[in-house]
Amino acid sequence: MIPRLLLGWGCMIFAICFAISCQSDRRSDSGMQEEIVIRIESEPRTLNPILTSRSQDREIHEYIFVSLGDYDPVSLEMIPVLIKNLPSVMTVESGEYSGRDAYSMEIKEEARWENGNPISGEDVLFTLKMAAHPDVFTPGWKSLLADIRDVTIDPTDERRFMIYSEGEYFLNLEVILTAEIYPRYFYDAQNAMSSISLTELKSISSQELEQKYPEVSALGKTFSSVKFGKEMVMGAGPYKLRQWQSGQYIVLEKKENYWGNTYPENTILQGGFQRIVFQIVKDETVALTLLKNDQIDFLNFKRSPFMVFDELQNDQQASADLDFYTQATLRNNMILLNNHSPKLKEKSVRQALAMLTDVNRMLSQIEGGYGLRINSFIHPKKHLYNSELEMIDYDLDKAKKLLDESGWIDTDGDQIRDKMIDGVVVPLVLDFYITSSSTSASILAILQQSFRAAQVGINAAVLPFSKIITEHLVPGDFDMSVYVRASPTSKVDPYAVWHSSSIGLGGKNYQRYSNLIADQYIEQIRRLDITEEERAMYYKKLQRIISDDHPVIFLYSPFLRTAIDDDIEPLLSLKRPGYFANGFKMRE
Amino acid sequence: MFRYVLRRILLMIPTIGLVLFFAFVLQSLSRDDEVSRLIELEGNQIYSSYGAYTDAYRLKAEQLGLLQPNFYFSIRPSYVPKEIEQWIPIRRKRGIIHLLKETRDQKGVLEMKRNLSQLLITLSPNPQERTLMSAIKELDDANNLDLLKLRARKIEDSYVESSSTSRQVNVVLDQIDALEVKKGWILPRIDFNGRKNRLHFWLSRGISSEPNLSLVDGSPAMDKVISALKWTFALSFSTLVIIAIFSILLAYYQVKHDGQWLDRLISLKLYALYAMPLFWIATMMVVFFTTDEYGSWTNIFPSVGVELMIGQEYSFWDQLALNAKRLLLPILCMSVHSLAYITKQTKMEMIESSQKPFVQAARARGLNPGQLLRRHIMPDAMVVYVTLLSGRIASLFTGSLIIEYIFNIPGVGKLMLDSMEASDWPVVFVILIFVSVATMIGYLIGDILLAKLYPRTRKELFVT
Repeated sequence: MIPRLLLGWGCMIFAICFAISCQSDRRSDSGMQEEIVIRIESEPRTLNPILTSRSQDREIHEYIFVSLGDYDPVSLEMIPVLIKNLPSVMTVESGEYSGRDAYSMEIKEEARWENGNPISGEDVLFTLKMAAHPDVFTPGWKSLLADIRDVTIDPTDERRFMIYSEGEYFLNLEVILTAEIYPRYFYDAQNAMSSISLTELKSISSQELEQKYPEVSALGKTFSSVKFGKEMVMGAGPYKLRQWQSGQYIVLEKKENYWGNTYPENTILQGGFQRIVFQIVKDETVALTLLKNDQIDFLNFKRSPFMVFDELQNDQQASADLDFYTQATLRNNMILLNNHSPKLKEKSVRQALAMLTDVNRMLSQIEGGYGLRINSFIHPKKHLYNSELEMIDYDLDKAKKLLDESGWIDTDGDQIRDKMIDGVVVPLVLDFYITSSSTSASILAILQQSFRAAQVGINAAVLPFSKIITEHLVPGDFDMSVYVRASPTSKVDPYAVWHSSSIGLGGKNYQRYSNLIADQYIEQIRRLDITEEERAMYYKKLQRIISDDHPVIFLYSPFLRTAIDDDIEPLLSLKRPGYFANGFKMRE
Repeated sequence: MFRYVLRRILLMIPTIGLVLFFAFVLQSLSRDDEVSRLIELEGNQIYSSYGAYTDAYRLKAEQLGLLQPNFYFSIRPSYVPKEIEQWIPIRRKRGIIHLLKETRDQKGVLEMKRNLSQLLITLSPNPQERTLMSAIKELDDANNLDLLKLRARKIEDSYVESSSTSRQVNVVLDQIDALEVKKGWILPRIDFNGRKNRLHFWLSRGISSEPNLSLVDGSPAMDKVISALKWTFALSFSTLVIIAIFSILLAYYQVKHDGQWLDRLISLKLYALYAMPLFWIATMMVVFFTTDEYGSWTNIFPSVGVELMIGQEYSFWDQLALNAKRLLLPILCMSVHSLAYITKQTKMEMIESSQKPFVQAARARGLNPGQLLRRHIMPDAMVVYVTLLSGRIASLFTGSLIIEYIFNIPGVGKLMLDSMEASDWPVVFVILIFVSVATMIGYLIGDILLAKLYPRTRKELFVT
């Protein structure tokens, strides 16, 4: 009797719970004016821009922090953001910095922090000091700012300042302009940084700093802490951090009476929605479910197969309230070839492998045609791209011929070409490292087919991306590897990726490409004392020489595939991350 | 009984210690270079020189406490110096150990490597020296004597002396030339490291005011786990209650109607549910019951994930109340799988109990089937039921991993998956402690319940 009663009660309680939960929870349209919900795949590490250069972190902090100048998402031209006008380089004629390059800048009169204080040269100096602090892990910044000598502030007007540079690096101005500016009063309330100069800070060691300037040393540790990365975050951008619910979502809120409203033509300073909610959803199926349920407004299909995007577009019911967009990106998919590998040392072998790579098939099978073929390290949509470069088409016969001519012939009848190298018969079986992504698997499948036809073997290994980099690409222990390289909106500095000095630790020339002429072109490109026309010429020459040497196999640049609530007008751009939520608007 | 419980609780301390120790040993054996991974993956950072790269590496390695030996003491061959831990990056350190192993010439190898480092720092900012720089980098990469000498000879043959670095290059080449394989006994040497070791660094951070920090975002690992634990607890506890009630009732019902069509139908359904993988059930439920994909009538449950609670701070109970309806579907998924298993096992145990002599005797005394079931068979089968339930406590914590991932619930399972993917060991260790403690507490509760419900076991359990 008792169990029957219990069973009855249990079922009834369960049925009540079931009934309560049985309701779809679409958001009401009334809330739509207020906020936009954007799906992000992973949680950012920090919203402290100096401490990170990860695109996932920038995707959020770029609405909180702004820099002196930046690339406009629409025109892709450098525009002033915090400063009145873009500076030009001038040579100092007298005084302490005589003979050095200098940039004179003036911050906009309206530019203010949240407490009403004007943004000044002091904040710029503080930012550069924080980047140079030996206890703050900003390795990229420290290298970039190595050439910046000092900042002097006009004693009569703290909005005017001068930045002195001692190097001849062509991107010096851009580095200075695109550094996110921090409010000194907020991050260094005690003004500890005023006790040390930028020059001294750049040369002092961590131990010396702790002994001589304990407050500055302590500030470095505080600045790097989670407090200033997740809780106390303040910049001069149109939004402020409202809430960060770990593992769930991040909410940015539009600032009231924001000074940037006086510059309606400046896209970077605009704030459309009252709140931007970044919802962390790792799984693609879940993200799609949330989009269909109107729980998120904007979804990027970066990780989903193109079929999901196509199916959703064709599903009349699901796509009734959605608009779909594709946008070119600056992501370049490629296959790195180890130019130091005994099997790939010869240019003709690398060229043959490029001919065995059916990029058109990859583009259609993997991306559904949503992408653009590339044949250079510069994106075809950028003005420095060398449009005279030829695409390498799939050509099995020509590839076989090239391999034959290079001495790679199947001598033992095992259907794999081989060659005598240093007295040893080496089969042409290439160690190919890929990640577990579906794109990598599809690239491997397509390559295996064409390589087999040309009697070239592939020894594939699936590893996490971090392991591929640290254990194979950095030490040069690989033949081929799938790689994605995102290029900046600005001019590309080819030094880290293509110069022979960038092979090994600290550099990103994983393909171990080494060509003295290419090195010379790169060094010319980096010079400050040449005209932009000359620089463009060197860029084009460098692209040509790299194209002829086949150090990597350029594949394609995938498009960003997005779906958005049809009431919202998005702002998409070639600039990373491809969309700018502060420019999203409700349709009229 | 109190003494027994106290003893079990005290026994937990060394057990957790052992779990942690083995986890630490396993992590130490990993060849993963965390610093290199963090540096290489930090976007498009450019290092102006080799020196800038090594400075960045050293700063991060020091912050993570990696430039220390693993334990309180180290046993090394006599040719490996104690200071080897200071050499960075890890790959270079391993190369040095290889060379030391081969030559056993501690002074010669270390002096040569020091000069090589200095040379790399001098050369790297100078693009004019690029050819020499790449040759020196190759020389530095060589981790056996033959290769080292071969590469040194190549440099010697092709090197055109320049005023700035010729002296440094010659010194290194001479030092390599002088390196020889020294013979002799390899003696083990024990070095006491005091408190300057990674285990101590890690353990002390666990109990000090400066806690172990997540490698991903720098927040305290314990805070991250506690924040996630509430969701997992809500899921696991609710699931446990549902399993506890429905499994025993279903088993009772099935035994009572053993062999009848309803019993067979329930058995078939339970088998089917148990045979289906949890991730599949969950994915299907999400697709069918939270969207209009198969008609609006199937969209009966709220969407996945937790509510966006923007604005004010909510207490745990408020958060739970707001999300109760969203948690129902995941709880249902977790329950059906465990329910099938426990019901099946309890039913089998009850059928087995019904064959035992004391039940036969009771039947002979004239008890009806219902009385037999409630008074004799069910209490006897409780041993299995309670043991299975207590064992589920830990498995619910870990089993929630799939459910939390699919339903986008920020619980411990999802955190563990994310942390393991990012090699965020401080967070993984804290989760490991929680899961170990949950397992032990689960079994302890099971034992105590058994003792209460089934006095016969009390002696077996507690008089030991």
